[in-house]
Amino acid sequence: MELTTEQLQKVEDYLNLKDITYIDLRMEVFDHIISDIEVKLVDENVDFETIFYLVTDIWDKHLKQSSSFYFGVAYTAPKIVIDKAKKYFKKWFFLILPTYFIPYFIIVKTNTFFTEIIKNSIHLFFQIVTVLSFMFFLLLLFKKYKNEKKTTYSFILKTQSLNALVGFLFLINLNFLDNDGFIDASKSGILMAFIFSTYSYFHFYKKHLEAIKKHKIS
Amino acid sequence: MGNQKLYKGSLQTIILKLLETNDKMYGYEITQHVKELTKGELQITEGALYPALHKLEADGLLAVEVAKVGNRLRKYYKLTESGTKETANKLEEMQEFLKTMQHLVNPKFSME
Repeated sequence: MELTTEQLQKVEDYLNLKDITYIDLRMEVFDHIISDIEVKLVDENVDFETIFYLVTDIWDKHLKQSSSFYFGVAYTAPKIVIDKAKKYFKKWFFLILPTYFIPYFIIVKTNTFFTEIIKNSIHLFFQIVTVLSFMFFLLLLFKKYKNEKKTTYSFILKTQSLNALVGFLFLINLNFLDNDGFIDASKSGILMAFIFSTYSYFHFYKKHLEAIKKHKIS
Repeated sequence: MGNQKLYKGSLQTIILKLLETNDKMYGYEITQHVKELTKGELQITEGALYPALHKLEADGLLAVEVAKVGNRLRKYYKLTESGTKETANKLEEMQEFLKTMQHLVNPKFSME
């Protein structure tokens, strides 16, 4: 038994109220709720309003606003979005630590072996990489904000946008040498973590575009 | 219904097996199919189904297809190539698990 346009609109309004505006989840939740209502209308012979409240009552707990340690408590979204985002983001979250510590320890262990030429070359390389990485991050930020469609990936991107500030702080002081003239291991580690975060932003931006493409009618 | 906790760890295998048999399925269809096959013994909730589907999709075991059905769009899930391989592995693991459980809970029967 197909629902009327008004009944469909009532489900749409419910999803809007719950902020299920993420295209990779909305059609799936919408279809599930409608299918459930249609089946129950036939099986239980009760009116639409009663069935609607029964079905949405089940969904309420999955659609309530939630947050996660992985993204920061300031970023909230429906629980179903947070749960999905966590599945995609978890491994990237834990990879950020080695991207800081591995270059840090390499620089600490090898710093004294560097000749002036090698040190200056590394320094110049870090400066170039900082500028390029920051510019690329800015370009991705601009492209993301121009694209108004929401997916689980765009939620992840929103939570990672502030990483651009790290690049900006590097640009203010493009010096990667410490007071003794050695390569600053700590700064090098943070720079590598920033490059990694730029790459992860690019990865999720690509996934965001793919999700938009994937959720078009085939 | 009382065995829901026992089934929980096998949800991904159940989904993969269903998709192996049915080519492509949508979320609600999976819940109803499982309910029907188990005569209501296992009822997959929305809170368990979608995280499991999204995990399988994130792991590259499931692919997604969207089609217009009646008055709305529907998202279908189907096995990818690696999903088909993983289904065979998971089913093998399940058989081993069941055999081990049989040894544990019914040693006499398993010795025959």
